[in-house]
Amino acid sequence: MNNRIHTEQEDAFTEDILNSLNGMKRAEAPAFLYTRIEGRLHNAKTVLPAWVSRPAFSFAVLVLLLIVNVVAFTRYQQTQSASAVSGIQGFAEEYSLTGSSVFTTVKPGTHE
Amino acid sequence: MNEQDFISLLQKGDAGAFKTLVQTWQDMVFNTVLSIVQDTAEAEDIAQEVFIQVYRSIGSFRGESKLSTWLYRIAVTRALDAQRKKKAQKRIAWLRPWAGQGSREEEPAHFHHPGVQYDNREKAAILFRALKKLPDAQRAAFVLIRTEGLSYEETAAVMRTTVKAVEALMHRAKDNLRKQLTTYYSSE
Repeated sequence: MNNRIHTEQEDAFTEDILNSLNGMKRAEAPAFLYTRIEGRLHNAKTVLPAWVSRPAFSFAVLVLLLIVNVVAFTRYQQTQSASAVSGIQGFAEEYSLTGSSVFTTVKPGTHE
Repeated sequence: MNEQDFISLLQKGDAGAFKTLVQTWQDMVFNTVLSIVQDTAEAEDIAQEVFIQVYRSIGSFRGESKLSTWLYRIAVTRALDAQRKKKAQKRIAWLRPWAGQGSREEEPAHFHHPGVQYDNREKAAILFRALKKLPDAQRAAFVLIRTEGLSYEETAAVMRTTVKAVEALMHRAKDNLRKQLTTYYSSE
């Protein structure tokens, strides 16, 4: 008996809540909504075009940056090794270490 | 002026026609969005975005549905998207203090829809709270029918579905709301 009363009260409560929107009116939009939209449209004219924000564009830019980086790194490596070689050569020339050395065989009949 | 002529003016970028569009449909858009997001400031922001989207994409509007149906569709989609983003942010909210972005946002108090009759305010607040937990499609159907007063046919057109599907959505929405409200009643 008690249980039945409880269920009836529960049902009444639920239906009461579900019917609470009966006779409701539409909420009115805030004043000056159009002016604000106009302002936002005016400000948005300087915004970047939509395709800039597309994932395909971002991915392409990323790939391009990667390629540029790889090329730059490879070229830097090549210049570094070239300058290293020329540095050793310069040092050797300055101290006359180029040409014959103690291990160089001197042909008979030639005098240095 | 019939709707087709009005749409043609909008597509030509007529500022007067756009102003008329906003002034005619602003309450409808705002009310729909507000009933979904349940936050006045956020609803205003989204309502503005809806009209900006309309302004930008009116050129692609082919008139396959009524202008009002199209507006409702954009409003519902935008509002539900905003809710999804908010939920996602809430899921990672516990990280915010660690990231130095302030403390967690508190759950807002009961939402009181300004159009609800004064006697029903508290009951409607309970209903709106329960409404937030419904799946998107059920919530959209319930809001369009109960707060905007659309028919099942109009709602089906907005949601690009059949009348039977809308009937099923409403049935499930009411069932889910009843379950939530029963739990609420037991806990009170």
